[in-house]
Amino acid sequence: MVLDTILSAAFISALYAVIAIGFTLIFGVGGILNFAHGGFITLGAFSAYIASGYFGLPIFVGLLAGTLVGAAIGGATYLGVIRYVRTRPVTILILTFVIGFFMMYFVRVFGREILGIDPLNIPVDPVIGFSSFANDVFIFATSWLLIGALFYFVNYTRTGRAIIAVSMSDKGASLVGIDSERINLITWVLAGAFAGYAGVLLAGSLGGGSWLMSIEPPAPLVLSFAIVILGGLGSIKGSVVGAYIIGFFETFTVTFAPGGSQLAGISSLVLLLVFLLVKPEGLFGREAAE
Amino acid sequence: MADLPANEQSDEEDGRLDRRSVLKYGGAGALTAGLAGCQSPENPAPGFPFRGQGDKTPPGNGNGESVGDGVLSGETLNVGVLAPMNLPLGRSMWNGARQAAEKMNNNGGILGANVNVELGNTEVSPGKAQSEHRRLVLQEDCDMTCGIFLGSALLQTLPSIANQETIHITSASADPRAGKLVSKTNDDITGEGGESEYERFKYHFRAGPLHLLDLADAMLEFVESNKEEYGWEKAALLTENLGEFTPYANRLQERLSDVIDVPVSERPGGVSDWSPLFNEIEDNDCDVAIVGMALIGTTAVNQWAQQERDFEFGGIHVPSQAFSYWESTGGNVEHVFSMNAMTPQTSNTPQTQPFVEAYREKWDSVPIYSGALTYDVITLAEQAITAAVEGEGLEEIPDSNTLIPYLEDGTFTGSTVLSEFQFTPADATYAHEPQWTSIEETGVPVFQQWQMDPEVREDYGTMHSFAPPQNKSADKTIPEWVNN
Repeated sequence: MVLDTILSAAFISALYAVIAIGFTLIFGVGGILNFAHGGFITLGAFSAYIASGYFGLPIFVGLLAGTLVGAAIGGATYLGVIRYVRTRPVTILILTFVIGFFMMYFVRVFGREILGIDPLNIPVDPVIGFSSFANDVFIFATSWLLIGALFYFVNYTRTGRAIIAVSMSDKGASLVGIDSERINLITWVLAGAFAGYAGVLLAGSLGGGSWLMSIEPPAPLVLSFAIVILGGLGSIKGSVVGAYIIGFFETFTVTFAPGGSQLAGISSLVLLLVFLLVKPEGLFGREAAE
Repeated sequence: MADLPANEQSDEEDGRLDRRSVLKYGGAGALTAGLAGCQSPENPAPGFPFRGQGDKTPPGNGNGESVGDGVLSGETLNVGVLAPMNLPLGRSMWNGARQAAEKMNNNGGILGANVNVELGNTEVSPGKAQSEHRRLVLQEDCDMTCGIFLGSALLQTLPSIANQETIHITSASADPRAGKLVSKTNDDITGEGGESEYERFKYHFRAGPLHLLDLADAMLEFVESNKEEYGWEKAALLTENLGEFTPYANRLQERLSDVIDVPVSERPGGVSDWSPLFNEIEDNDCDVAIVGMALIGTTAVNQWAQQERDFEFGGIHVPSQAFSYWESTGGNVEHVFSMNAMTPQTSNTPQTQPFVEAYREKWDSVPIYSGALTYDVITLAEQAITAAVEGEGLEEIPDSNTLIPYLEDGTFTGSTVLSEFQFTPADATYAHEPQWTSIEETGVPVFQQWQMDPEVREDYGTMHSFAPPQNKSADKTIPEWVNN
């Protein structure tokens, strides 16, 4: 039973890490709390449905479509809105909220009016359909692979180091010839791609998506926020650690705490509260995008 | 206060039970229940997304002209239908009401009176239910109302029902608190005394579904009667942590262990990853998960099927009562069972299948239980009005106070769910509720199960019923991955 629980916790934590990483990236580089992150996730899942459910293509195509649409929406959000208001954090906060809700309602209206589906139950298959365990292993493996690749990209490539430079100082980076506009755009595209990818995995894992999926359990938007607070805002490795802490805490609470199944949805919030009071800088503090 | 009707004003001034009192009693579940409603599927059937929504055109001639000869010729009975039109369950209510009215008008109306139905869209909001009730009665001159889904919506509307002194017959909510409020023998709700509460709330009746305590008893009877045949020795009890489910959950937590071993009993809330709970159920060798689910039902079903969990799954599963649910879950709902009042395959009464066929033809979909029960409300009202007009020698549609004794004392036929229908008496613990004794005697509720049946349809699941025997349309199936 304990082994089962550890496995379940490891699998769900890997998914949570992918969900949170895009949110972390944008905060780490631009200092922006992107509340449209949930919208990106929802659109990713919805795109996968259109590709695989509506057009009947294999779910791997759906996964690719969700990732690409996430990337495109991330880039478009930056180019179309964020870059004009980058110096006004409150405006950004409100705008990302509005954009996120706009995306959710888009899924609702488009899904129901055009595609004729129930927007509360958008069927998205698991990426590995023949075995739930294999699907969990796929999520676990690709989570580590992609986050490892991101870590390498950020720390060991020219563009990645430019991202770190911009995250430290916009002006300083400009002085050494880094095009911060381009770096920000790359960051948003990457974050969007991660969110879209996470949306497909999440919907497949739950058995389907919904236009409300960003705020329904496990509420990826709130989850991302809790994870990056735990790990330290802006820290990639902090987010991974935060995801595993929340995943394990939630799973063990449900399994072993008396009446724990009632606490599944709020266990991450309890941790969020505790960390904000006791260690507000998070486990790894603010380490830019490292 | 000037814009309030006189009876509303007087109630607030003399300090009797007002909206706040009932809110205090029932409001705790309102938020969660509202969310539960949000979660439900919104599409009644493939290719049938919006039909009928917002349509206020009454059936029959709809203008008050006589539809037949009789002592009420020239009169119009206005029936308000309070339905959440953003849910399949609500649209089915509205369709059922219109179908019944049209059928009645085509057959000469009620002693010649035209039946006109008016829609009040409650969405899934208790506040909207209350305001729509007032609008229907005060502005649309409805003689009676029916419908209402969600216990919180019903409880919030009860003061308005009492204040307008207009009969309301519930046809979707299963909250037992309404019946308790009506009862003459209960005085533990408002402290006013049972007689006083009865006089105030006697306008409320319920055509169905059975209230949640009866449903819990039905579940106990079902498990006890069938556990040997199904090979069930251990059961897990999973009842969603929603206020609406509390009476049901409490009764089963108390009594289910008397009929079967229950090693797992949980009230999950906000669960998205079911693996830990499903592991626990398998580790305890449970043969079946007896569920009560609305908000989190879909993720549970999908993960149960995708993870091929080694136990059967069913109970009260609200989302699976909609026809579109097969498509919504990509077929994962196959083998899931749920209590229901009827299914498109059952013949609870001689009227069930003709109703289903007519519904299918008219609305290009299949009815949900709420549609059948709302249809039954109109049938039942016709019989009560006919009896009252003849009994009292009236030449006009009787008012609510005249009609109440005829509803209380009548035995009604023509229902699509129960062959003979009576309301529980005013001094019952739960008054003006459907009179129900047991599944064995009444044949309801039925146990619906999603199955693949090529004889009915090759590309879509069928909502069969495997119990009780009198309403059985197919044998129970179990997934091939279940080995217990």
